[in-house]
Amino acid sequence: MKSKIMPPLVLTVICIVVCGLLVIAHNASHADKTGVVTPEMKKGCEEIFGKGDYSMLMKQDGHEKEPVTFGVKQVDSVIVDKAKKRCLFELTCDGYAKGGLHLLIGINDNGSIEGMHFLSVGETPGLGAKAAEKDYTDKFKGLSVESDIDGVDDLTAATYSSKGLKKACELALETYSVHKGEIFA
Amino acid sequence: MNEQRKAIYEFTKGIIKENPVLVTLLGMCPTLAVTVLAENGIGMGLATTFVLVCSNAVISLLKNVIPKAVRLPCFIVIIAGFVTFIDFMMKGYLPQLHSALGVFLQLITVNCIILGRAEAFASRNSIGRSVLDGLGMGIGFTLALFAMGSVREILGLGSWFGMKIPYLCDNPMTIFIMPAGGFFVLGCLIALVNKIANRKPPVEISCANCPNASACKGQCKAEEGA
Repeated sequence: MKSKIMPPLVLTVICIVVCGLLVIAHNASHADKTGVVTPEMKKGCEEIFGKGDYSMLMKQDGHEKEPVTFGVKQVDSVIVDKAKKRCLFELTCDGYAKGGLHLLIGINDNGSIEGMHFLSVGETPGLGAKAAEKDYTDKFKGLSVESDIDGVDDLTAATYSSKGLKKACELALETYSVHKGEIFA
Repeated sequence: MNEQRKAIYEFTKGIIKENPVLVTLLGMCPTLAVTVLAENGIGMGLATTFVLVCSNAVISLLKNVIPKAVRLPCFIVIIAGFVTFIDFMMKGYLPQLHSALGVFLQLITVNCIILGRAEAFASRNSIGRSVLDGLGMGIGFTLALFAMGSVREILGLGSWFGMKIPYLCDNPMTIFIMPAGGFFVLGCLIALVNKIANRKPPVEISCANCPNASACKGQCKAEEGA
């Protein structure tokens, strides 16, 4: 009887203890950053537009507040500087790696791309990661929703990453042109 | 004195003589996948060392409590617990490294080095020896990943920890950061470690040198004869 009860009992006790300790570890290490413009994001905003009063657009969903994404899957949040009529889209797009491009795209009051800042790059260093280098991202500066983004050449050995970046720019520009009124309301 | 020597042996054997990557060829997936940069190699190596030391200590401590019938599920739960812990910590405090290691961080759970050491060593030895074994194996794993990451980053990207290396940074050999380059560097490092350890291939392949001898029990010889 003991030999039948002991194995599952020991396994259950170990599972419960491990789960309990993990709950404590999670609570100690997890910080809810929903709706917060992190220092890295702020650095990106200032790199693109210079100093300003940046805040994240939030919507009330029941009791919880969550960032406005306008229903676009790749948009994580929208950061605005309402006084100067400029905004930044935080996007996560697929390059060669799933979710490999996590960036901010700044759109100025003319509705064209002012610049971009990468929050993280999960692409292969030396290959796909070249798409995040300034030499390439500068080619997108000044493009608007009417521009032909596909006219920007893909990078050799970084085709998927280049296409991912173009997709991110397209999404940011389209979302801006459709929801401009709501962004600065 | 003898005990001290044994302890030193348990610690040092994993670094060269029984290096988990370059001698016993375990943990190949993370070795080839994350060693594009030296920094990633160190991060992965240290995370694995932490899990290896902690899981060896806990498993050695509980070796008399865990029934044989459920020992493997228990080992996996303990290992997965430590992996999830290091995942939480890295996500909270080192998000860039967490993103670079990607899915391979969670896959430490099924790294055969860890389960192998738990089953073959920690479940049969005292806590002190198990910790030393885990530490030695972890350092060996970290050094192997660091060496691979350094070679691949220097030759494939022309940089080392972000520092540009003259000439190489203008003419990088991209093959080294691709999978084929990973296999090539791994092969060269294995050859180098075998040279250092003065390991020679067996003169005659016999049951004494065969790792499958216990399972085969000389069947292959009988088949050969027939």
